[in-house]
Amino acid sequence: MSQRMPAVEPQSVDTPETNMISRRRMITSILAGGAMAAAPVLVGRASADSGSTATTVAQPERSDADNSVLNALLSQESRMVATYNAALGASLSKDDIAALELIRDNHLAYVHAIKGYLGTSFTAPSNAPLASPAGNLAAVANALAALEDQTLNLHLGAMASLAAKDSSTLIASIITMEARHSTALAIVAGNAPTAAASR
Amino acid sequence: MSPQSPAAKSISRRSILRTGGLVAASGAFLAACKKSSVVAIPRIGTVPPTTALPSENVTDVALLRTAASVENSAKAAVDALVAAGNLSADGVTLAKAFSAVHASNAAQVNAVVTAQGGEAISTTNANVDALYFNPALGLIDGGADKPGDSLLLLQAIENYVTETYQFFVSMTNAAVLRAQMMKLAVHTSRQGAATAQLIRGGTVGFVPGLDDKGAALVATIPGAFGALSAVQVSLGKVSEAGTKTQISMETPSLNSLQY
Repeated sequence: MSQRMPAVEPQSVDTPETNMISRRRMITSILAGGAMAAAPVLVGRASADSGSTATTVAQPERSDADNSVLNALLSQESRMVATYNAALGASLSKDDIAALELIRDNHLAYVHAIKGYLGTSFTAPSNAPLASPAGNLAAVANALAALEDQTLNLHLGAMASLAAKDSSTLIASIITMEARHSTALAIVAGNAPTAAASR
Repeated sequence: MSPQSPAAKSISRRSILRTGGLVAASGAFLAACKKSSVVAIPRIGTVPPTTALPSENVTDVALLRTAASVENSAKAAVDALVAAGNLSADGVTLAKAFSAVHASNAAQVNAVVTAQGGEAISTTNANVDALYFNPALGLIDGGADKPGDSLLLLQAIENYVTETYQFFVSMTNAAVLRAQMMKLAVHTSRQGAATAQLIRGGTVGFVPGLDDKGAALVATIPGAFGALSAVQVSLGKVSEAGTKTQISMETPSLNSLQY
């Protein structure tokens, strides 16, 4: 009598394959292969870039080294917002208030822009006003023009120490408008346009 | 059923994935390493040999030289506005002061160019003259409101120089040079604001607005951040539709740089 073999259900149990490549190693191999395939392309691009800027050293787009300078500028801008809020308490006409609100909002935009650039690296800025401008439009505008110049000079001084192009570009776009703030305020404060333009 | 043999086990799903991945990666690697072959295309007749354009580097010195040339162009255009005699007395006072500043700025930029080992430039920027400033001066001559148009162009010129410096900051490598450019940009930015106040004075002129026809009014503070868009100015004869010819001045690009 022949003995029949017991039926065996085929099982496909995933057992550790000690002598075969694991999933992790497989993925690593694929990635390595991809990197090697991409290498010639990247090398070609790098050499093309070096050819177009042969005489200059490329600067970083962003740099953590700029954070402390940017935080100082952020604090100044935040204090300018507070100063304009204080100035808006003066007895001014509707047009004058609209003009000061416009500049106040610009400084607020600078606060947000610098904060956005810094991300988690920003430190909470001071909200203390730099001054308490009061009196008529001429007095208020004169005081604010001087503060605009102070802020502008801080930004100009920072430009030379900003390592990254992105932060320099941001501060440059603020500088050109703060120069306009200063000049406009100086003119409505009673200064001659020529004098206001050459402050 | 027969038990799974070792050979059958090696052709598992895992094995197929692994082998397929390695084959794909190897294929990509080999394809990238392949020499690119140039296939000669048969052609009839003679084709003259082409000469490749010389490659130019956009260096810091090239940007500075361009800035100096733009300052020279701005000075020439402002001088032309004064010489045309269409500006008001206040406008002439401003324009003469601005002309001196442009000359001073150009000298300062040229000093930096020389210090950087470059060659100073004393000429104007031919492209900026030909594309923007000269046509704008011509439009004023043919228009009815020459004093008003002259002030608008004066403001546009100052804004143009400011934007040029601001734009070059994004391309300049040395931080010190970026700072020097912006110091000069402050002068021209102030001049643009002073001219805007001459056109639309007082605090009401700070704020952007529209006239009764819906056209944008000149604003001393046109936005929160310095713009890099084209400086637009409408000059000359008023058309039947009530509009003037608009000139859009783009900041100097590769074909206007002084290499």
